[in-house]
Amino acid sequence: MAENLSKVCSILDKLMLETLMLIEKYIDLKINLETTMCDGEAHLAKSRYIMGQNCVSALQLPIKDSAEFPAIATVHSHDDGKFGGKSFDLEFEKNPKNENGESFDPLRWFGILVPQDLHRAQMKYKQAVTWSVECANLQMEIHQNLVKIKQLKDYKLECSTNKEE
Amino acid sequence: MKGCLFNIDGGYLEGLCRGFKCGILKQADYLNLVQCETLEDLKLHLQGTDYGTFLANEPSPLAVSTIDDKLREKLVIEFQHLRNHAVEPLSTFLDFITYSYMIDNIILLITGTLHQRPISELIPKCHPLGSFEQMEAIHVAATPAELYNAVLVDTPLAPFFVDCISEQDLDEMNIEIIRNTLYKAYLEAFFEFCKEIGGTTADCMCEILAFEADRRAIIITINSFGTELSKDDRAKLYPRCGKLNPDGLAALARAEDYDQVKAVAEYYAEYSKLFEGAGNNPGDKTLEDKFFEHE
Repeated sequence: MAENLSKVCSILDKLMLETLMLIEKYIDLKINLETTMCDGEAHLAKSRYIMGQNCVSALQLPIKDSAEFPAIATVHSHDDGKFGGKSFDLEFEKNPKNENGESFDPLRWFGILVPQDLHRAQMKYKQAVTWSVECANLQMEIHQNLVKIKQLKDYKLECSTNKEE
Repeated sequence: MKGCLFNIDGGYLEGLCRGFKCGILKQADYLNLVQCETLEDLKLHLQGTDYGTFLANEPSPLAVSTIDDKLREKLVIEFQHLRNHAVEPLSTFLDFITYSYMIDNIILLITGTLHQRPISELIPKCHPLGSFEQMEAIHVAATPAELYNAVLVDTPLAPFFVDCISEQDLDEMNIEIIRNTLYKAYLEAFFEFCKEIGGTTADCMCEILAFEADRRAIIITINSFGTELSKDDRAKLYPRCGKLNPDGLAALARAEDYDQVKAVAEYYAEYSKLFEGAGNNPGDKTLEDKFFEHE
């Protein structure tokens, strides 16, 4: 019994440490995500300055009556079994094609000869999408760890109660 | 006798123009504006400049777009006043200035229509200096030929459209080509007009327009890398009234990357200076920034 209790305590310690490290990684990733988004927005603002504010605005974005367009990135989720967790996987389409079979790039909504800043903004936002998927994965891991910790704590409490009896 | 005819055409407008020139915001004004913490602060500081109480009747809270619209409205009123009092050749000169805004408006309307936007949403976004009567009819056109026959043939831009007429459907590539071809024809026509007037007009304006033509050629080349625009198509978009014509433009047409473009610019002293120090790292000035500064 005492042996079980000490084993449970050491596993709990390890899990807590692991959770703290995961939280630190998560915070770093969030900071990266925020920096990348800010960079993307700065590049977008620069393109607006160069091209004029009506050439890079909500007017160029498709509305619900516009033609359908394909997704450039897809997220696949896999069930992880034991604790009801999931993991996420991001896939970027290499040559996205629209309904007519022509290659599709959202940058074309703003024209063909767009400034380099708009290309850079697109790259930053793609990077930000990758970071957000990783954040989601980390969040799932932290959640799973917290579930495991709770179960072990309940077991530990049970063990201590039985021991007293 | 000649004395009573001196300045008869331009005297009043020249006086007005000098007044406007003195009212342009200076470095000290900008330093004040940069210190502002809120838009209300900005409004207060602008009251002390030539802009005066142009925002006086706007309800708070102020929006950036309101300030933008009101500032532009002031410019448009002053420009219209000058234009209404102008006679030849000043009237044609001022009209030429409005053509570039008209081209931007046409492209905005065509692109908006391509993305299924209603015309009522697009018209308020057009620049007021570039408005013309047939603007609302643009959404009916599906090909450049229709656009010309239905809308542009009665506008001042009709002679610039001659190279763009085709029966292909309007798609993003064609719209880009139309935009640049119209602008090329406009720049070249403006250049010829200023040269014809001669004198100080030709001295000042031809240099400005030559720089604009060269700037467009360089930026079109750089932005076309990695797109589907072929070298031949690209070469057709270069305005020919700049210093790069004909050798520089031929070299630009053959260029395949940024370094080759830089090498072409090395032959021209004023342009090679702009390429120095322009970079892609954050905090660097981009090439467009350098061009803006030089302008």
